[in-house]
Amino acid sequence: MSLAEQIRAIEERFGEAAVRSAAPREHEELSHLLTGWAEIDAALGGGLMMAALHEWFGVAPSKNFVACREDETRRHAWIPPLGPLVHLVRRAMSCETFSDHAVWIGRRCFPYGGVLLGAGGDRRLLERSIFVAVNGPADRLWVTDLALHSPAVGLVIADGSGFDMAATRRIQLVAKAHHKPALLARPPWETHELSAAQTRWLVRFEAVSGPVYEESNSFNPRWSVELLRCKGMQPDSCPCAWALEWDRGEGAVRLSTAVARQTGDAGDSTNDRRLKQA
Amino acid sequence: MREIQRTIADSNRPEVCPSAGSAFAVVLVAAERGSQWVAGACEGAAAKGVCLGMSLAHAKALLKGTQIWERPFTPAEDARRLHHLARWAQRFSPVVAADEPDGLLLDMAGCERLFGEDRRMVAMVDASLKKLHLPVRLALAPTVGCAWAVARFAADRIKIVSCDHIREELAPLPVAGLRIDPLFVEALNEVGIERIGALFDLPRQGLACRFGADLLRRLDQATGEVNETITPLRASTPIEATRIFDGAVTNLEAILITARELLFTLILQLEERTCGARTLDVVLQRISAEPARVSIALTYPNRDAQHLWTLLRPKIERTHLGYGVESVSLHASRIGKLSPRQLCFAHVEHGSGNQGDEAAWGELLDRLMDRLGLRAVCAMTVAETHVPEEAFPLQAWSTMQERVPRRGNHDATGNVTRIDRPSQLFEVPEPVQVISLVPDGPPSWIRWRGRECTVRCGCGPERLALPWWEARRGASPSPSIARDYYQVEDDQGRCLWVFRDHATHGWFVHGLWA
Repeated sequence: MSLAEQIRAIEERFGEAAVRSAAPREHEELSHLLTGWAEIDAALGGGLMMAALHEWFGVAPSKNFVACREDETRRHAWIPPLGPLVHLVRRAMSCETFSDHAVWIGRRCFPYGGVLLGAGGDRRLLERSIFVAVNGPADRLWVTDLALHSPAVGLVIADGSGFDMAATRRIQLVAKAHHKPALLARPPWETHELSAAQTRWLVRFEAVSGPVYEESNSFNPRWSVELLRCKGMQPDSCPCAWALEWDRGEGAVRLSTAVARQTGDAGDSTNDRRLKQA
Repeated sequence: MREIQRTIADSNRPEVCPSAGSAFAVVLVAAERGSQWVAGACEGAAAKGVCLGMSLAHAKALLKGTQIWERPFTPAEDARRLHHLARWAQRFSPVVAADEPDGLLLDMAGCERLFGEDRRMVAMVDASLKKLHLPVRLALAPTVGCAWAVARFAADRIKIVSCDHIREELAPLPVAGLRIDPLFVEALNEVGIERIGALFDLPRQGLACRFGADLLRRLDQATGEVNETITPLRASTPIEATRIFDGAVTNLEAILITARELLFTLILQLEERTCGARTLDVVLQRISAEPARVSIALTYPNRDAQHLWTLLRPKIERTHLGYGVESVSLHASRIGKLSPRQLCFAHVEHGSGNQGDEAAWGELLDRLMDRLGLRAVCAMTVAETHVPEEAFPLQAWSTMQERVPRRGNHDATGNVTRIDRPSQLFEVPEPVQVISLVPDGPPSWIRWRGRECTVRCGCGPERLALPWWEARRGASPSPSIARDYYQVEDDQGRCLWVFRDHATHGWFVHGLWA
């Protein structure tokens, strides 16, 4: 009986995990994905959980988001928070254990190629990204599921608009089983939808306070990021709203120290409180 | 060190061709839409002014008083004969390729030990071809591109080019010798570039921008800056498996089982050759009907039965069986080399991670393209242009094999510099209403998507203009030849990338930092 047949016989009798190689593993799998935003990493206990689904809602206007009739008619025109998402993908790519490719699903989630270039014209992220143009939620869910199953894919970024609880649970389970992060971009009015995501974030545009018009070469795009939910995290144990800023020089997103806010400051409206409870 | 290829390019005409002084002429005639035109002519006819594309009546008028042999133009038959000739030429070199429509490429590297020095070797090839009554032009050169150009356009019928004189030999030849698109040849001639030598002194960046990266690739191949290999003819037995039924079978389940068994047989043949299938065809011979053909194309060579069956099964299930199927056959019409797979112990693989990843990647792409279509799966490429909407085009993955090969760590388009650009760029710029405090100045109030907002801060302008030749020939979909871009932040916190169009004086939002 050959070695392979002997192993198969043992596995049939005692289960697949009965035979293990004594060879050292090349690398240990990371449990968390460091976002590079120190305060957020600290609040999350080491970063975003690797084997989980993370939903990013946005981008909402800086004022308190109220779904008025005009917004209802313009749902097709929502803008996904591509800046923070590209930053997270770049961070994930920098991990040594990261698998080869990132899959972007849904045309709305396709970032402009210029932001995928790294410092010094580094094309690694651009060349390791694949873009799947699908429209319907069912097709997007199928592609997300298939990509998460593939060993050659390390990260999935998908347009999650229209996904229901069952869809997010399916993605969460696959992400957990294959130890990969899945990032869903969702429109801001879907924050009330039930979801199985590990974390949920709401991204808003952050208006600058200053003169009415100032011609300047130094202003940077800013967003406020609010953590709506984090499974396993004690409520109100740490700040849950932060300000992010686009670093034009490096093409990265970093924490904005100038307009950092603490818990309570961000959620001063009834709408924000409702979002937190969600 | 770059491997130097020694190549003979042979420009031949397969038909028996009389000399210029004879009293008859051979003309190949092609018929299209009721008209007959000259698709080929012997040297005697050419000497009297007959040229390709000319109408047959015109050619007959020029050849008045000469006996004309009219032969139909059959490119498929010509190609078949050329391949036969290529097999015959394998007596001179093991690496021979047919360069359609009228050339042969022989890699003569290392053959000097058998046939002696270069001059003697070329003379021997020439003498052998003369015995076949084939008028040929021969060139022996260090690169394929150089040999191709010299064989066709040099003054001498037989020419030997040494390694140190590639540029000197190429310089006086016409740019058509670079094997580029005739449209680009015409465009180069329009601007006064008729000889290859004129291209050596021009800036490469400008050439790529105006005439495409293919021109530079061909130029580099001819001069030896970029390596070019010959894909030789290989005699191979087909990889196929067939099962003939006793009678007509209408049961789909039986056909599926048979097809699956044939697939395993085919995979065994692939394993013996350490190959994987790139294209797999299934043919169902139906009674009283045309054979039903099902085909799958794979991104990477693959011989994983489960994956191939996942792609094949739904296609076979959708096939109409008609009155019954008499036989099922599987055929790997295109194959690719696949390294032998390392056996693993306890589900842990060592040393074959890249191959495993490539296979997994290929399987993912195959399944995506099979279900969503070839155009749904794209990769982002870098184009050498500063026009924002054209700088990073999405290219279907199925066409990515045709990309320009890289030179070292960079591709032929050169390095890319990162410029601050919005994270989202609209495919079509959205019109926006703007109020500026000064004429043609930056916006201070905008109305976009039905909402009015005040601009709180901004910077610009950054003027982007289309190349004049793009604007003149209308090749670009961009609406105008110049735009002034501003980065503005409104009172909602949105950072927009707006521009003023010089042609229409209208304002548009082109993207935003989201």
